[in-house]
Amino acid sequence: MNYFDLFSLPVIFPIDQARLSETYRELQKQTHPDKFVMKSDSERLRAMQKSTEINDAYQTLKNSCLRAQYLLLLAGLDIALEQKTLQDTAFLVQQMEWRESIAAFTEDDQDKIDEFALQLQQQVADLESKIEVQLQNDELEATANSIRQLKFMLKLQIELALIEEKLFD
Amino acid sequence: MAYSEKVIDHYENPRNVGSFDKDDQSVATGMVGAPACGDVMKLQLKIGENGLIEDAKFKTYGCGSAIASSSLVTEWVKGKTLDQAATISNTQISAELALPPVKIHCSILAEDAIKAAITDYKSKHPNA
Repeated sequence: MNYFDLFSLPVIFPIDQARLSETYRELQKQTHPDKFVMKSDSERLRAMQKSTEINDAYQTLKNSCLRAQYLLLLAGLDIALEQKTLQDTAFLVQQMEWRESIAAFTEDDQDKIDEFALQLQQQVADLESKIEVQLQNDELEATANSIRQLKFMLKLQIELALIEEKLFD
Repeated sequence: MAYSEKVIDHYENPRNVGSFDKDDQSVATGMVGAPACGDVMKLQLKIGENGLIEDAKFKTYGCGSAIASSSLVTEWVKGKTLDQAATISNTQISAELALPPVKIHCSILAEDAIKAAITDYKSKHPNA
């Protein structure tokens, strides 16, 4: 049973986050250890394994990058543990420039930081739309490449959050 | 996770940080990135008329191991021909820095940066 089936969700990239969370809570209730106190060891073990699976599925499905990677896996391409480097020079030059601007932000740059955060959000949204179309068209290699780019954007968001914390907290 | 002394040394005193003019005909630029961790690495080689690598510079946004790997290769490539530099492998880098398995991708990044720089140089000098 794949993660989407486990949550009775269609095997597609767009996801109903509210329904996902709601189903998650229901499923967790069904496998809660309290319900298995009086049961046999094997039943308790099975419930625990189920609960772990539900957790893994939830963490994977709620995150757009992991969800895309999982759909790619279901389609036959596993890039979760790949160590391949990206060599798209134009993309990487842009990444480096963005990392440089993040490193150069000071306490006086709140406006610039906010603007950059919005820009990143837009980049992430654009890549997610691209991934949706690529997955629909079964373009596995192209999807893999968009996921790789998305990972760099998410990393920029983390770096930006860290610098904001450093500057303003 | 504990870093080896060599990683800490390169991280605290990185060798050859900086840039050359990427449009200079004697400069080879390699840009690589690791999607798994979002690290970005730029390695530049300055190649003399005798075909030897005279100088190298790097700029890396990444973890200590990625910075140490790129710093180390800037030292290793100096005085080598491009063909010799191309033989530097991630296994040599990770052995020298005693990188743990989870950080092997940092040494792969540095190896691929050398290869990308060489490809850039060959595209600038098709007959070299």
